[in-house]
Amino acid sequence: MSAAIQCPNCPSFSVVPSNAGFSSDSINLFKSLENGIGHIWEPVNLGGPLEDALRSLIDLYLERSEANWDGYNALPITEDAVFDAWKLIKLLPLSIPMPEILAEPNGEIGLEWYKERRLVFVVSVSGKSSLTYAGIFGRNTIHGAEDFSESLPPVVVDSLRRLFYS
Amino acid sequence: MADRTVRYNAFMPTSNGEVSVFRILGLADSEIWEMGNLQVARKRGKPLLGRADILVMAVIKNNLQIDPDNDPPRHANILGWPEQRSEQKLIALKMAADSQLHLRKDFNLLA
Repeated sequence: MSAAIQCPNCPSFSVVPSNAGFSSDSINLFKSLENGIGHIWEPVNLGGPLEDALRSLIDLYLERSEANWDGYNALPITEDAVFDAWKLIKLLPLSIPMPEILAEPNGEIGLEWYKERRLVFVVSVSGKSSLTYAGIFGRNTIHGAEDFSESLPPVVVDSLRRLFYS
Repeated sequence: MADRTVRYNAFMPTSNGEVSVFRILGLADSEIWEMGNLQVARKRGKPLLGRADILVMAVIKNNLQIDPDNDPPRHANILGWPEQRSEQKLIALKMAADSQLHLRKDFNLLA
């Protein structure tokens, strides 16, 4: 007898690594993977969490892409920040729920996972392929900064696991 | 605010290192909303949907300072933020957790 379980450690398969190689075989493999992944998302996730997140990102950009969007001299959300946020969302393990997407006054985009008042984790991107994070896990807190490109920094994945699976 | 909780970005400082607040001690609820409409909603050109109330103690315990410039009356800035963006974020998370959300009675979340 067996039961299906979620895999908090499994990486997302919604992003194809772009540093795989330059040979014709590598390029053909890359294109095949990209096509396959595209087909996976198209039919089953129409209106699903990933598309909702993309819609939220676009709405945020449309509402906050001009300076002073808050009346207190906030910096505009940039296309690069939207791109980084979208990349980060697609890199999330499939077992992690979609975050709430927020704008920060310095033009960064914040992705917040809120479980309860003192169980919350947030990651922000500004379009420079780096991220800052902070979290409250009951009495414990963390914060820091990391670069990211093709994969999520382990501290982000570990923090999300801590939030949802411990 | 979608689920009746305050989000951290309400307490993130601007690039000037300030968070704009109003001191509401001694004001009736209706006076607080009136001040918000006058000093915030009109300035932003958007309706005021809610507010986050926080005690001075919850600010000071994070090693921040409150500068009551009274411009406009009862206005103050929260200053003294650390340089690191991630540390600012953590403090903003703590302050959001310590604050209390109040929604306008005539504002329907489901509308």
